[in-house]
Amino acid sequence: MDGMSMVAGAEGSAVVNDRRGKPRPEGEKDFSRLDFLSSRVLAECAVIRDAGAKLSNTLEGTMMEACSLSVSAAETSDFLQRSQAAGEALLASTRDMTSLTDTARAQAEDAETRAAAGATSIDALVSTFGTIGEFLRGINKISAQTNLLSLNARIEATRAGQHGAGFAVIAQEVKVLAGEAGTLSANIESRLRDLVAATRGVQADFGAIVGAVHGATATLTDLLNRQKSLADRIGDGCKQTVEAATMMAGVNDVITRMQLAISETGEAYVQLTRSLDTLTVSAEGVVRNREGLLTATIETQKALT
Amino acid sequence: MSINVSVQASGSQASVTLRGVLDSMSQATLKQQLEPVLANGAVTQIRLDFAGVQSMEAASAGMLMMLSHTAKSKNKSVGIVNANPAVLSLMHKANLGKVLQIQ
Repeated sequence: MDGMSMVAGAEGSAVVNDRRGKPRPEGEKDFSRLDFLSSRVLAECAVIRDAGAKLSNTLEGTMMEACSLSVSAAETSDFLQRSQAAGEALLASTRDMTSLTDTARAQAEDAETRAAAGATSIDALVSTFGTIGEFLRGINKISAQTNLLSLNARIEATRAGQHGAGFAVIAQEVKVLAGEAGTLSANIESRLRDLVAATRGVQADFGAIVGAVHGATATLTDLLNRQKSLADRIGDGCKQTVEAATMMAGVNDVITRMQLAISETGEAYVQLTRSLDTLTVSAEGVVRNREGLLTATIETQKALT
Repeated sequence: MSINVSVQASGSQASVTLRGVLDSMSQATLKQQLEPVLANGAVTQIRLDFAGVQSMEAASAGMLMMLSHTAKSKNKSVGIVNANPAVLSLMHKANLGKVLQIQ
């Protein structure tokens, strides 16, 4: 009762004051407070309605952004799923390559072992050739001694005169045979030297092969280690992709909840608008019925006093 | 690119045919064309025919979502039909299928 107060009169009857505190003439009706409150309610309704309209626009904008975000998140999820599938395929392929490389490395190691064994065999062969050479030199020596022996035999045959003529022919034949044996032995020794030289060449080639195969084995081992490292990295990448996909699923859930919250806010806005409509109608009704209300108030006050 | 909107109301059902691209530029046109439909108390079902929609922006799904809520507050349901696969995919990615019927 801010705008209207009552004081007790001399006769005990209530005197109604106006908003300025001055006594109001009996029977005069005060509408100013009611008008003020009604217009205030209507003005506040208008303010709330404007704010609601802005809220509605903001909600729609936010919903649009949420939908854009939802689509981006869904596409990111799709991309992550494809990346995961591609990563797993790459991982399987890398593991296959690692297995093949491991097989090639084992084969190279086997080849290296066999090449080393071949080189050892060639060494033994060269040693055998040396032994054969020594035998040939022995044969040459025997041939030379046989030739000398035949010379001595011819001298002795000459000394024997007529009786040694036949023996001289035999000594001559022995000389020829010793000469042929010596020539053959020399030829064999010459061919043996060629064979030894060729075998030394093969031995050098084998050494190079052993070195190359050893290098190939080392390269394959390095490749194998790198492939294993790559496979580990791809595996880590796949795990991280799965984690990212899980996180993105969480983001999708959040977006869905956000959309739901926006929807619920929108529904609340609609209810607020309806309440505002009702409040506006009520305030306007109060203004229309103010005289009746005021009369009722005065009558009530009179009845109370 | 703009969008052409034609509305045919018959009894409780309103059929809205869209043709063109639904983007931020064309959203206002669609909303403007739908206002009388939403205000029509006799209409309880709004059918949006997307057969002629070549593409749509993700943000437009948000506009459709809010449109669906506005319609719901006025006791109307909104359904989308004949959307092409790309548009359909985008609608589902935007969670539009959770608030309105998409066929």
